[in-house]
Amino acid sequence: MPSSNVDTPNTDILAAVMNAILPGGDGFPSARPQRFGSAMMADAAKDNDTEMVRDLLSKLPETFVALEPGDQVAALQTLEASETVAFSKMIRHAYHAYYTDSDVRSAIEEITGYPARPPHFEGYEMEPFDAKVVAVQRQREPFWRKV
Amino acid sequence: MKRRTVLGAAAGLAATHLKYGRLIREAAASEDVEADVLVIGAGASGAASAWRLASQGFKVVCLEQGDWLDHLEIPSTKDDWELVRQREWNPSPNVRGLPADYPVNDSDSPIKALMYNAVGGTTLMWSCHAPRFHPSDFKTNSLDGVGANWPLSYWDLEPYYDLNDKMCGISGLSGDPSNPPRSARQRAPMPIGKGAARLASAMDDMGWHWWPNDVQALSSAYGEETGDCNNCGPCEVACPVRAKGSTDVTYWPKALDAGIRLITKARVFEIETDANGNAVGAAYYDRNKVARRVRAKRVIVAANGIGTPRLLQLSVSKKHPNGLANGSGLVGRNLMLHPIALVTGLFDEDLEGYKGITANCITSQEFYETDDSRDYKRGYMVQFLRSFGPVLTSLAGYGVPVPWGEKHHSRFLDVFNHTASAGIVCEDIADPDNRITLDSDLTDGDGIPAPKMTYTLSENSKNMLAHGIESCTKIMENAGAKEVHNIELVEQAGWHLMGTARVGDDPEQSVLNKWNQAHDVPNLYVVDGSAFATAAAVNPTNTLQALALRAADHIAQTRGEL
Repeated sequence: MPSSNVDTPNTDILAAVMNAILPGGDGFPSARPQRFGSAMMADAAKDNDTEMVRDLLSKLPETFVALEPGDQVAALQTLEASETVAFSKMIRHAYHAYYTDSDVRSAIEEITGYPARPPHFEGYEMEPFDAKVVAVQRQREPFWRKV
Repeated sequence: MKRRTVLGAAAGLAATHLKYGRLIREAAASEDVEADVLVIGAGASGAASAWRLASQGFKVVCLEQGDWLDHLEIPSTKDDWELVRQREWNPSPNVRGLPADYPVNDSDSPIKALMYNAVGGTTLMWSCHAPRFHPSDFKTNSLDGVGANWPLSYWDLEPYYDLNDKMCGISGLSGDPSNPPRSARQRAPMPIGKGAARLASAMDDMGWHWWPNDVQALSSAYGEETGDCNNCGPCEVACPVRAKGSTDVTYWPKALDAGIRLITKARVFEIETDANGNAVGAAYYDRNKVARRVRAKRVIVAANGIGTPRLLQLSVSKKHPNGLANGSGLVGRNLMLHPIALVTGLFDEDLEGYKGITANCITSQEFYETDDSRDYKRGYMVQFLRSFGPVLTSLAGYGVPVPWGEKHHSRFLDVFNHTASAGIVCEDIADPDNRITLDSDLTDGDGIPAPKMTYTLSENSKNMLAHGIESCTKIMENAGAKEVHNIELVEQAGWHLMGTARVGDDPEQSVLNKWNQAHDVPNLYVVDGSAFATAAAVNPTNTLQALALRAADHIAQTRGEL
């Protein structure tokens, strides 16, 4: 049964949805803390998707927060199947919120070595070009088409 | 040491902006002006032609609908850079919707129009790949029975390729067996990185061609006000260390020093003509939306393959009832793009794909030419790509899905920095039904009719894309990919806008002659990608800049006719 009203996204529902989408593990934090839901809604607002997300969440069962994790995923999968475009947009906003969070970026740095900073101004060190890598290609005769 | 270089570049930038700021204020207060030559558009080709003419003593005025970009305020200096590039820095003017932009109705095209409007034009967003056309690209009709022959050859253009290389600085390596010989490159090749090295090794084993790209990005600084590339990755969001060849860095400082008057936030709505049908200048809305006029003896249009036919079609008069220079009826027709497919390999190894220019490291031209055993004419280039940051990786950037839910994080770690991609860049054969027209309803912020893009992917392109996917899948598999994914046609790929005012010898089959001069209007030139008779299978910027320099020299050589 759909919930009666979610004028503003219920923070408990939002937290539960974010957690189901991005539950944490493998060194990553869960997206359950309220800041992730707030950031997701802020990101949605930038694309005028606030109402769309509210409408989407209103279609979840009233009991969503109390459901077992597996049942929450099943409810979201049902929603994804019926509201494909809107759900996809919500996922985009959720990922935007998650992967710009400082704790998440720190986790990525710790796990992968990818620095938790923007590309500039430091940039990245790379091995300079080594002409030896074209040794095989240099043996090939020119093969451009003569005109 | 590196840090000092960056700060030095920043200080130089501030000084440069101060200088340009004075020019901008002057432009804001300007009245109608007169010039020897008016250039419309300050992007890749407009900047090149304007500099070339001003350096030969011409009084040049350039009108640009955008403004100067502050390179210190670009997205990749901030934590949310991957979000901003999807919005305010989206390459689609329809998504970006900045005041300088005009919308493009591209609903009737599977490939969407991409561009940027500012001083530097789309070079502010390009990946700096600067290949040259092949000699065969200029004679496809004679050689392969498709497309149109150009009225000039590769060899006519070669000195201007060299001049453009010298002006901008190319990092690369001479000796590529797939292309005619060329002079030593100005700078050493960019680092190729782990992913490209792995794919290159696989191609060596397969006996297939590859070569480090010629790029207008600087492995070390080249001239004043440039810096060393710091391998940050996203060239598509401009370059705060000024190591990339956007024309606000390459041509414009020299052009302004040569005395050009550049008027920004100036949107041209008509090229004006006299009773004889010759161009006499252009009318534009200034930054205060006041209509103004530039009078000029010659007019150069450099507004890209969509903006140029739009402007010519807007410029209707008694002498030119179907639009300016449109006696052939071909203005806007023969729109060519580069249909692109993507093949991505997922590897066990951490390829550090965030390091280095994202869309530019090495290419293969193994399948560049026609082979009669295949079911298509002409060919394609394979441009190898690195990978994205965390946000775009999670959003399946190059086609490798990362599902939500409990498997999200482990899958993210499998994918992030573990992919290498191949972009299959197909030569597009001109079709007069692929075209730019004026939209009957849509307008820009000044109420000027917007362009409408009508484009259908040809069977030739479909077959070529399929062959490319098959070839690149073999490369990925031979390189040890554990998964291979593909995108059959990339929608957001309409960077290369060509053919809509093409060159040719026959005024009934072309809009421009071999000097990029309109058959119908001898004092009108078009120097952007619109002029291309064929699309080739390589990025067009280097070629359109060479054409612009050559057209400028023709104007100089016929100076007495002004």
